[in-house]
Amino acid sequence: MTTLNRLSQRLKENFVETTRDLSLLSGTATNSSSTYFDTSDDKLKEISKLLESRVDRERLEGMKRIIAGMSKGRDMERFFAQVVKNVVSPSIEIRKLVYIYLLRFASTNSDLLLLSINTFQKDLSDPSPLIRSMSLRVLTSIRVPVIQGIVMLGLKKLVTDRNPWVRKTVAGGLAKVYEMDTSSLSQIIPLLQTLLSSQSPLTLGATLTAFLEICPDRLDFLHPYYRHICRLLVDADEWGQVVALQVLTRYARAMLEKPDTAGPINTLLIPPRTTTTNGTKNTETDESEDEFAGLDEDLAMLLHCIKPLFQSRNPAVVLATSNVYYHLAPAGHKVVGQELLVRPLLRLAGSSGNEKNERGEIAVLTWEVLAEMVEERPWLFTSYHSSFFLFATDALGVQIAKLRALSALVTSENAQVSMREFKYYVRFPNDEVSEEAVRAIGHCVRTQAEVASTGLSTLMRLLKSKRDTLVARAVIVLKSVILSQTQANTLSNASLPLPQRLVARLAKGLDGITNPKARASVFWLVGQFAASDLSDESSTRGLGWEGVALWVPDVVRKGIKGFVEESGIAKLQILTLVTKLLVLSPSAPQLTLMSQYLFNLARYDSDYDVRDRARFLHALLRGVRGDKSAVGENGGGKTLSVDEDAETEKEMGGVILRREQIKVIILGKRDVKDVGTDGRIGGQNAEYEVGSMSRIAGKKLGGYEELPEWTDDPTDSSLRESELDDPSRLTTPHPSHTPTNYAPPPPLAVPTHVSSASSSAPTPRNNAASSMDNSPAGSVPQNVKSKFQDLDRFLDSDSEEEESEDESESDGAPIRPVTAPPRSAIVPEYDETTSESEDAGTDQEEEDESSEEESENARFLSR
Amino acid sequence: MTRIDGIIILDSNGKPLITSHFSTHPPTYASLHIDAFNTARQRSSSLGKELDPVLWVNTLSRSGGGMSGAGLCHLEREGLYFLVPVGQEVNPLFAFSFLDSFLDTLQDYLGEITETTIKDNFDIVYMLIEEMLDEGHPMTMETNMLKEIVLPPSLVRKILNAAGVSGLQTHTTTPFTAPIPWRRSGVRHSTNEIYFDIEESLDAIVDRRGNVLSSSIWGRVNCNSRLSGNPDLLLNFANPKVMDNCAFHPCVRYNKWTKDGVLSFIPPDGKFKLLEYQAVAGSSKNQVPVALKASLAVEENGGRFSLTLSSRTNARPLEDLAISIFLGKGTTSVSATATGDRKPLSHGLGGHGVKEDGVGEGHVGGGTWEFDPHTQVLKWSLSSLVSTERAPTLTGSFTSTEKQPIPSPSFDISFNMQHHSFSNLRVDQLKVQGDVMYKPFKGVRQMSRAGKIEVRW
Repeated sequence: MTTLNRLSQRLKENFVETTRDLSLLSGTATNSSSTYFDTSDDKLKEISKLLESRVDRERLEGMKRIIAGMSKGRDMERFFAQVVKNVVSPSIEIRKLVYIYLLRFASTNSDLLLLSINTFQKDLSDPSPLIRSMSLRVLTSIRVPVIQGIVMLGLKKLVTDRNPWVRKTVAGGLAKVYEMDTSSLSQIIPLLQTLLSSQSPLTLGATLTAFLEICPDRLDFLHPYYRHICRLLVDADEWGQVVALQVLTRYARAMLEKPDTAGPINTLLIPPRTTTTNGTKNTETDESEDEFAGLDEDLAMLLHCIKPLFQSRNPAVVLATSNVYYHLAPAGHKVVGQELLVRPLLRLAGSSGNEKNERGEIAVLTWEVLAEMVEERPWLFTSYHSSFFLFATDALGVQIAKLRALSALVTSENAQVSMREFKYYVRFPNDEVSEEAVRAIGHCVRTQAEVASTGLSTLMRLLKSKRDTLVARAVIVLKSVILSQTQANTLSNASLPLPQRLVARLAKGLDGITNPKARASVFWLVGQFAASDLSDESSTRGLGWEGVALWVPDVVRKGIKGFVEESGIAKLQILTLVTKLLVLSPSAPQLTLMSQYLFNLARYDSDYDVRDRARFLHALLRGVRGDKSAVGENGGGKTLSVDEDAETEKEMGGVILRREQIKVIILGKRDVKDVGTDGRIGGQNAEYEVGSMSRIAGKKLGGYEELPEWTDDPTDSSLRESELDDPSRLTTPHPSHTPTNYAPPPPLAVPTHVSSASSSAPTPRNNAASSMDNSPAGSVPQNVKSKFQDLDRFLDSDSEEEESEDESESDGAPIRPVTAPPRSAIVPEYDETTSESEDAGTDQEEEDESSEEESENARFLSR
Repeated sequence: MTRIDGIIILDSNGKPLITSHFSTHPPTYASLHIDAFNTARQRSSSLGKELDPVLWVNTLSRSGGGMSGAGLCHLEREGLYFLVPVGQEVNPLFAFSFLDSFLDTLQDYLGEITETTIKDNFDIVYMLIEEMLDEGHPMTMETNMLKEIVLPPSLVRKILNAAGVSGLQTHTTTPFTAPIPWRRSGVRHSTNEIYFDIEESLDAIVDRRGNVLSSSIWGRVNCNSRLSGNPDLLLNFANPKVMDNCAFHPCVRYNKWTKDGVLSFIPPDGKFKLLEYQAVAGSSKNQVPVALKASLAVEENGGRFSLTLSSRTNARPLEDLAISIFLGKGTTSVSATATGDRKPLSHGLGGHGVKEDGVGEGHVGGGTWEFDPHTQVLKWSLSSLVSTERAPTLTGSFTSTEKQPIPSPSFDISFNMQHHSFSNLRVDQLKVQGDVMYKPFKGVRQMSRAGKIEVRW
């Protein structure tokens, strides 16, 4: 009876469960998800009960709740003992959850965990590779010193496992063991070497990752495996490729000979292309004997082997490959030149941001990397100038990066186009972008003579713009243009008006300039260029007092009039300006009066910087005032400040500077650092390698290391010869002859039985195992001695056999005219040659019309 | 080195849904990142700025003593936030590539990625993370492979579970034994079919006179393979030369492609992206199939605009045409009239009713226009456009609270063209080889659309 009751109870529960789950399926239940996430105390008690249950399903339920609690951040450690018991469960699903749990809490509950060690150990010999690898993963993740011996044994046992996936786990385990106990290095190294010599590309990535974690500096370990790795790389998993490329780059820098033409960063603007193409052409005439002339054999091999990786679908791999080429490849080489990296990167950047909401981040980062590369080696990218044009819909980060690249790309050939683009970008609604564009215009004006005048007039027009930030930026850019003009030994641009004219025009526009920084710049410039006789140089370029006497005092007047309203930096510059003028022309009576008024104003300013500066300058000018005391008295010198001065002078004594000395102090030549660099242009994190995370983040991340410089003492290539290499592949790759770079498929090795077996029946276990062995991804085929059979060859041989029969079967049936009812969309046959001529015609018309409209627009907009 | 620290999934409010194990990090590590992210997000949204894709977070690192930090890579998908902290130097795209494939896998497992689906299947998500990440190193990333280890949620399994038949794993296959990483062994389908979707999108910048300043065509071939056994496919194109600068799924044999220009591959089971390409530029096909004559004049507190649209292609009608422009901050209202050939209203257009105040709207033969006062974007949409019809126009004006409004300097055009390919890429034939005894059903579909096409005014 009781059993019957229990049964009915049971059924009822089941029914409830069923309905709940089904309602969950139908998607109507809105709070169904809360069951797992309800972690009230009652529920927690229930978990214990579930875990103790005999029914797998309930235990699974219990585990699920625990995992849910973990993800909520609840303390689930109290169930440790109960969970550990479940590790022997026959259900893989339960076991997986147990593993997840154990991984999280293993290190804090080692005593209890030791209870289950035996199970893990036993699982290491489980027939299922999944179980083997899973148990090893857990074993190595338990960071308990006591069991390190056992773990080591397990690793040793599985390092020669037939299944590459298990070996992959071993590689991961090695790194963990090393992290736990660095003294085990001597035991780990041989295992690592065994893994390195593995013929399966599957383990490559994990192995090299382990290498990086364990002994990144022992690149010499890699000598015998270098060529092996290069060859396997194409078939390795994507994530492994990223790691391998990083390792190989370091290896090449440290061990291989620097290629002759590797563009060093200082020879930026001289494309070394001409010399090399000549060189390669010469060699090509003698029957393309050696396309890699002048290149280290092993470097050429690396570069050639990774070329297909540019075609990877994985953005990280493409970037990693580009980095290798950027850092290692010779410039202008015909087969493996640096230029190869340009188009894949542009594809990555251009195609990524395209889909809405998809991979936008990748686009931003790629453009950023591109901008950095362009800034360092603009010659690589000059022929792709138009790819960098901005879209108004681009993300802000993309736009800024593109602008940086564009202004680095400006050359005399594209100067006009660049200027047109920059002028257009100034109209962008986003201030950051348009400011950057103004800066770029300034860059063009300074460097490109033929567009200097148009650029300058654009900048001058911008002074009247209604956009405050643009005016400010234009003034600052103009300032740098003016400075670069005067600094250059010869006038850089004959087409530009003299700097003093520019300053005068700037000063004229002062009323329209509201940005504090911009106003400060104008005051500073006026003061600086009023200087006359400092040296011969400046007398030709500066304005000289005589040249400015007419309008500079008026600038001062305006400055003083609005002094109270000016911002701090502008106030400082007004003070400086007045001081300069006083020094230059001590005898002008209005100036003296104005300066007295100004210094009085400044003395009681609310900003202590201003007060400070006023005091300082006032004291500095004592000598000048002494000169002109007669004049001063005429002009009602009996002001408060003068009296005070007299007093303080008596008290303080000290040195009084003469006018000439003050002039040297105030108007002395100084290096203007911001000329040419203009803030961001020039890269802000240049100390980190291009294409590294640290460069993007702008901070040094853990584990970041400078790429070593090319070694002066390359290692002998014989070091890299090893028995791993098939003798036929030892020579330099000749892509022109065998682009496959692999030996032709050996007819013997065709595992025909595999295909027949797998197609005929559900694969029996031993058969599956044998197919593993012959598998492309798998290990050495037994019948071919030490010959790695790669995927392509395996499939080539396979398909060649079947090609003939297949031909007859499908007999070139074109798939286009498929009559597909579910997919009504079939490639249409349409004639597109007809539209050609018409198109041209309409084009013509439109051209005419639009030019009319153009002029109309111009009138429209020219205000 | 070359590891990411873990993965965090936040709901739309910034509360953690799932944090993967950060076992080797201090316990506060994950919450530090979550806090930093939420703060940065709030700050940027209040400033109306975009968030940098990589944020810098100060943390106590485990490697060296002293303060150091991590780059926090993040992206938003379906209102959820996915964070990947990177504490050690790594390729900058590594984390995002990983997130990409993680999301693809999640999508594959859950159908759609929402808060509800993740909560409902959190155990699966957890197991997936566990399989994909081994202490930050990507482990098993192939969806086909993962499906053998972590069973996807399915209707059958749920019913079995509910009925008490405890859906314990009844493995038909043994995981980790497939010879090809991306294809599980023993695939069987009752109907064997394979579909290819060729999608192309055109990016172009057109200046005021209609000259194309720069353009590029991006294409991708998506494939949905439902074939039994281990089929070996050979896809021939009539003109493979138009595909340039390709990116392949790892299953494609690179050497065959470079040698013969054919795609030879054993496909993964299910949906996957076979290849991406850039169409060879320079041909007349790069012409933008639509011409927009646009003028916009900014005046005090507003401006006037006039647009004329015409099709330049006879091949196919342009569908779902939309021209949009950001009219600048402070734009309050727009009034405009659209003219064109009178066409029967399709239901796409009839859907708009009377909107609340401030939302301008209207439709005639020239399509409908709409102004969104929140984003200040004016959008003019037409359901279709053929070259024979009278050119539709839109003229009007807008008002702004700003004295000098700064509208975007270009109009953005978007459209679709069914059964069309900008590059004129044509599939010639598909041969199925390998150990298969069936003739699969094959289908190809082509689709073209505007990517980013901008016309400057």
